Order: sequence, then C-alpha cells, then structure tokens
Amino acid sequence: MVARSRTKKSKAEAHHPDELTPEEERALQEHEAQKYLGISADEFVRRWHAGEYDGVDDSRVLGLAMLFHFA
Amino acid sequence: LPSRTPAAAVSAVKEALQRAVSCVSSAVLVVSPGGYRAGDEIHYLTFAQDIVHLSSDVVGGVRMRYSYRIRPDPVDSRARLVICAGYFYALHDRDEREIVAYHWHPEGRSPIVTPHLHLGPGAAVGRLELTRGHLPTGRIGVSTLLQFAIRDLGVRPLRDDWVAILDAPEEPA
Repeated sequence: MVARSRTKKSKAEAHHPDELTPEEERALQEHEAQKYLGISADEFVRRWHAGEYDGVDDSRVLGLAMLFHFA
Repeated sequence: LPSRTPAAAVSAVKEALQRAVSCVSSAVLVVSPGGYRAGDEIHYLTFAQDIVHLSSDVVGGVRMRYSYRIRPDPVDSRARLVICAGYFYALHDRDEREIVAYHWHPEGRSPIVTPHLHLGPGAAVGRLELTRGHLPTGRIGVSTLLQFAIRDLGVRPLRDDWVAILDAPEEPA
C-alpha cells in the first residue's frame, strides 16, 4: 500500500523533459532582470512587492513578472 | 480542449503553440517548473532563450510568454482544462528594439487589464500618445501574431504549409 502510494506520487511529480528546473528558471529570471532592468532578480521581487511597479505597463516588467508567476 | 490529466491538458496547448512557432523558428517552448501539475498557481510557457531569432529584414526576433492555470472542466470535473491567465508577445527589430508588443495581464500591476497593443521604439512612430498608449485589441493568439509577422513584416516562413497551420483554430485563450 505504501509502495503504491509512493509510486503514484513520483509519477505525479515526475519532471518532464521540457519543464524548466527551478535552477533554470532562476537563471532566466536573473538574466532578464539584469538585461532589461539592470537589477538583480531579488531586487525585482523586492520592488514588485513594495509596489514600485504599480501602474507600470511595459514588456520589461511584464516579462519578468510572468517569470515569477506574478501575472 | 478538456483532457484526462493536467499534463495532457498542458501538452495539448504547448503542442498547438509549438506548431505555430515551427512556421518561423525551430526554437523550443518550455514549461515553468511545476507547470504540468494542477493547482491554483499561475504557470507559463516561454522560449528557453530570451529572444528567438526570426529571418526577416525588419523583424530580428520574437519574445513570447503565455501564462495559464489548470482548472477542472466545469462540464466534467474529472477532466482538466488549461485556462489562459495572460500573455505577452513582442516582435523586436534587428537591434532588439521592440516594434510591437501584445499584452494581456489581468492579474498584473497595471490598471489596464484588457488586451492591448504597445508600439515600441522599433515601430518608429513619432506621436507620443500612441507610443505611450495601450491600443485596444481582442485576445490575440500566437498564430495571429505570426501571420501578421509573415504577411506584413516580411518574416520568412520555414515551412510551405504555414498558411494552413496558422489558419487552424488558435490555442485556447
């Protein structure tokens, strides 16, 4: 019973070949934060939560917000 | 379309988007971490690289991001649907200046929550009201964007059947 549950869980959480790893996602976030805004990924998150992008509507911010699952 | 599993629902959308992309590029779409699993969080599809090169004298490349949630099908709660949560498609010139960007971000920080178009510096439009504006659009799919890129901006298709592929029903919006 226990073994079956574990098998089900591992199947459900299996990593797909075309699925980014958290490390790859982090690298994308860092790259785009530096390239488009000249800041680190951590700084982008800080500014986002501080409301510094409220009302901002441009591709640099939106692209990053999507990479952070914010939009 | 409803699918039996969350992964199948995401795969169906990804395959439709990838088929459209294959008309202009061999670039591969990837899914965000955990993006094949159901849950309340927003997932996304994107290219593995930032800007994907396109063959054209005008357009240098395309950026694309498609965010979504996986929800139970209201008709059959055992089935799963991918529901688009927003998108961002941009065409850049050869100097990486944005020409046009199609946005829809109902959950972002912008007060503009309806689909719209931005004209970027690469569009070389002089009127400030237009370059700062949010030009209203309907919901735009990747196929529509790529049809525009090929027909009007001179992007060279990579396959002869691009018309049939891009005329096919769009990915779920």
